[in-house]
Amino acid sequence: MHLPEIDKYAHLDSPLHSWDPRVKIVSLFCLILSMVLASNLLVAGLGLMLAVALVFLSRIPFGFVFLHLRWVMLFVLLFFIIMPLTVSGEEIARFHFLSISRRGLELASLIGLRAFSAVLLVFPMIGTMKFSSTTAALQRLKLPNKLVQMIIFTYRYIFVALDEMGRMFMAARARGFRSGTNLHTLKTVGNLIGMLFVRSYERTEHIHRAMVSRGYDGTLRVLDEFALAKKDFLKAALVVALALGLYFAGWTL
Amino acid sequence: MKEAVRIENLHYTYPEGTQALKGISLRIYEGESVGIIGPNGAGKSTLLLHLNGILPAAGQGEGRVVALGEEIRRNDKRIRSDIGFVFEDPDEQLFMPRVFDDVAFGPLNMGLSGEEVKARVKDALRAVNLAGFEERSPHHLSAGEKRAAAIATVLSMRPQILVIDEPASDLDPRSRRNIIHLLNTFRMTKMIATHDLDMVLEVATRCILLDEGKVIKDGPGEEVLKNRELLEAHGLEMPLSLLLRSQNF
Repeated sequence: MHLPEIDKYAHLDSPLHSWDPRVKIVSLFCLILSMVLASNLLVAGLGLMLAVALVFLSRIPFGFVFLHLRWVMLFVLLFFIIMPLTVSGEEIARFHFLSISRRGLELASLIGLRAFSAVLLVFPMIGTMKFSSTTAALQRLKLPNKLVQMIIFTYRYIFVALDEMGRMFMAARARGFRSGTNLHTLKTVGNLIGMLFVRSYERTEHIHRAMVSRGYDGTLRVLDEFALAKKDFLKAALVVALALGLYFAGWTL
Repeated sequence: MKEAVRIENLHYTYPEGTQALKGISLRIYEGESVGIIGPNGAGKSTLLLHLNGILPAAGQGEGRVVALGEEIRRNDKRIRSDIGFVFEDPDEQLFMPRVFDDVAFGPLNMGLSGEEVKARVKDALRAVNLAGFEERSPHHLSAGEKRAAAIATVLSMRPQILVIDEPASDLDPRSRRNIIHLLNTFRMTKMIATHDLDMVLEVATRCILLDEGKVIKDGPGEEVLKNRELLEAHGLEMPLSLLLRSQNF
């Protein structure tokens, strides 16, 4: 099964690719934080423009980014359906008994802009370095070792588990299974997912054995070779200044 | 010849009650290449798991395993860099996001310096013909490359004994040939559990036939593998190359 990988464009060359992973994660995290805290539409819109600019600067193709954004769109769509109908405020349109409020629409737009900006920034943040550099940087940033291990193993084995699931569904289809909106489909899919869990559990035991036999004692050690330069701090200063600017703009605009 | 492994009257019963080993005793000498054969459930993998003390703690066992002069106990960590264990499924041996980290995993746990780790990774990958694969994701390797990378993960620890479970399962003929060639280039003591008896003929100087948790036959590779009646009595078949030779092909 082909699955798009977050570090597919880590080999490109851009100011974001050459940025020290640790400083990049911290700086862009500050920017994400300022975007999710945006208190009005103008600031959230500025944040989105900034996020688009950073994706452009990272040279990651927008087609690849949009491919991942469709899930965010689904999430945001729910807010656009629910909030204009449920938040009270000035009515801007009415369809029979359904009343659409301006306040609800504004709130849904604000949530949508925040969500898009934050998710867009994930691409320049972790899509511009190899996944191993991301996890090594997180480890150097003192993220708990167990959490880093969970991230590493999830990323490594999600593809294996999905491949396995694909094979199981293929085997089911080869024996005449056709999915539909019925109880039989629910039961079959439930059984397949249950079997995947059982197999994954067995696999974790085997992986643990393989780790222990190579000296694993509960702490994951990785070799990293990060080197900080002046330009890393300059980039960080610029991004953090933008984050602060956005945050304080929310108070004044 | 100096003794590498001594197993004395080894018994092991899994928590669910399966008696996997019933009094195994054998000696392996330094530099030997030993093929361990037997039908499914014979106890091959269980025997190998005793060599670096990683069997589940809930199981019941008795007997002694001495490797490189030290008695091995369950969860014994001292010996693990000296005995390299390659598991059957490379997706379980290669658990890191890139090949470099997988091959470096053992040396880093041994507490080696960064420079030493990098040198070992380079040597190990070169030894399995995977130089330049450092940045590759294990998920994107072919079955043969995964198997070779799995072997590199223990070679980087520079073990004195190499233990491999089913090195050729799921491999196409070319990849299988590459693994046979690789195994023949390694000079350390080797213990290889497999159903591929033609492979045993090519890589092992000695062959141990296990069935129902017991040693049935222990002798020079060709001598054991030529014994058609014995092999068939224990659910195995004579290697095709020997069969053809016996029929003057």
